[in-house]
Amino acid sequence: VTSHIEQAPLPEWLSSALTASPPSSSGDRTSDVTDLQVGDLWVFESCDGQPPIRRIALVLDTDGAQVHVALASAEVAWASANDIILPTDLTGCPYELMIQPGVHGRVWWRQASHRVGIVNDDHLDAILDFLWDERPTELEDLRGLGPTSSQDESRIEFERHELEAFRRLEVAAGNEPDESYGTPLIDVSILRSSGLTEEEARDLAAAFDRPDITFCVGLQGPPRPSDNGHRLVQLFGPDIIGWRLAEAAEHALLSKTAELHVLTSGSTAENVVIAPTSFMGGVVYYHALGRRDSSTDDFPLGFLDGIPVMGGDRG
Amino acid sequence: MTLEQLRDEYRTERIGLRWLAEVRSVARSVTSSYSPEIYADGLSWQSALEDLVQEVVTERLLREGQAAYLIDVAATYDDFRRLLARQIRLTLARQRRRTIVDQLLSRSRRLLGSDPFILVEAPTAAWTLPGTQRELRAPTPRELRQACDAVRVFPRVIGRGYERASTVYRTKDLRALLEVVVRDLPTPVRLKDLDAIFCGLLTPLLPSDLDPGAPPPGGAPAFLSPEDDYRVESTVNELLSTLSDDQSALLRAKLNGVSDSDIAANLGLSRPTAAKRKTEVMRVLSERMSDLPQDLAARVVAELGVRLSAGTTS
Repeated sequence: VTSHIEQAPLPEWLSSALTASPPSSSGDRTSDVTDLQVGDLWVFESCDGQPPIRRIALVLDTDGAQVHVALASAEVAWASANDIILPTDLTGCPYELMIQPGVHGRVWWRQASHRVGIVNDDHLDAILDFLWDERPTELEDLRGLGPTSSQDESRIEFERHELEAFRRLEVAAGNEPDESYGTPLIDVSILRSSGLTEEEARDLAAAFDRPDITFCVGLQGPPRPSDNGHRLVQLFGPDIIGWRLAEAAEHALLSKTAELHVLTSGSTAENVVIAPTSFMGGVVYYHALGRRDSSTDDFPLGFLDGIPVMGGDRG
Repeated sequence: MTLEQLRDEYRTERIGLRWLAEVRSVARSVTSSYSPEIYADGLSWQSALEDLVQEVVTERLLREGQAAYLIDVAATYDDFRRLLARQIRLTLARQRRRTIVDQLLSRSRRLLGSDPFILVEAPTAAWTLPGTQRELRAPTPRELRQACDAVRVFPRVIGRGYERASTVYRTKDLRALLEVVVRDLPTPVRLKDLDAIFCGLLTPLLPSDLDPGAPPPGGAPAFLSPEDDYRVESTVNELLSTLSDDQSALLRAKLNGVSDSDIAANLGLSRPTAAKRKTEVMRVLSERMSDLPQDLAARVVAELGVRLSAGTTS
């Protein structure tokens, strides 16, 4: 069979297609991991003992042996206004990629396989701003038209697959539970969203002084070095669990109408499941594993303790 | 065949006979669960398979660079075949969406030919509304996105999974949708613009594409008794008369899935201020709907979305 394949000529349509789509100059596709830099798009490979998976990610920051990355998906048809499409002429990569604000975290440097593209400094800064909930004008034309996850069942499926894949990369980063902390306290008292400063969040926490509840701040965007070392439970973040839930929690707190048991680890409430993926350096990271009721097909609608909740899932 | 052989071929000639054999093999396997009636113009897959293979290779793998993506992320031969199967499913879904969008465009063209729309030549055929001044240019991506958001809430006919091209919108809803788009865009609306908006509104993959064996989604809508219907209608009217213009605009944006950040940017507010105003709107909704069971409350919110988007608030 092999010799038949090797001897047969290419069909004419394929020869024409190859000529019509010449290989793109994909920039510097080196595989020297010491050359990994912020703004690079690299392929990262899992190393968690299971069959390996590879995913492309944008390098946001480097820190010792670890790299902070945002997952870059090739399935740009899903891009909504809350995602950024990276066209080929911006990255030098032969295919378009999409950055979803909620899907980022840390991996080991050694998981990097090879570079597939580079994002220039200006666009990288704008992307970081976007991850931090800004709306930089440079990215206006790079946002998608597709549905957000609160509007479309299959988009939710897509996000779930992406998160699951990314968790495999993150788990591979060796973020095992830190024994010195024992079983982390997961109860959530405060979810900082919608622009509360940390101080305001603390004031709010004080107003709900409960000895059995651990102070918790939900942060948007990438974790910051200043978070490390604090007894801080970080819900990572509202943009992953969805603004619908984050804002509901905030609303419930402000109106003193709800206990926030809905965010307890492993619990299921309003079909939201939150489970820890890692516990490292005093910071607990969580990812939503699944959520949403498929019966409300068309509208971003949910109820939490009788409060109607609606809205885009991402900041 | 091994992944290394496929990589070697990619390095030397990108797509050669080994790749082609893989595409054919995976396409044969994938299409076995897709109805040729829907996805192959009614032909048998035996006749249509080669067209699909050419489409996948020419458009997805070469023109869109997905062959490079496969090489970059496939860790094993099985991985390669799985990713290739995904490309083939996406191609099938796209073809089907194309058919659906083409039908919507054809229906739209007919509807745009009558009142209240006015045809302008600018320089291609485009439509506007009487008494409106429009800039003679193409809409920006941001403007198209906003138009998309404004009509996302319009109700769709749930497909039964076996139509080649679902209706998507009832005629009265499609007409109302076109009115919103033509009213909201600051430029005359071309078919090309509608094409982009419809593609943005329709998910590229239907659930049945993801899992062809799965039963179709949806089902018969829940029945509303005349009493329930009246409660929904009166609650909607009450809410619409209660909300200020700013609150209505904010609620409309939220129901269309616009993020808080974008609402803040559009209203020229800080995000905390926008969030505070939104909380106030939610409180109003909460109070007015506190007596309603959840299914009726959901109906109220759905109806609010359509009425606010269409501008029929009275």
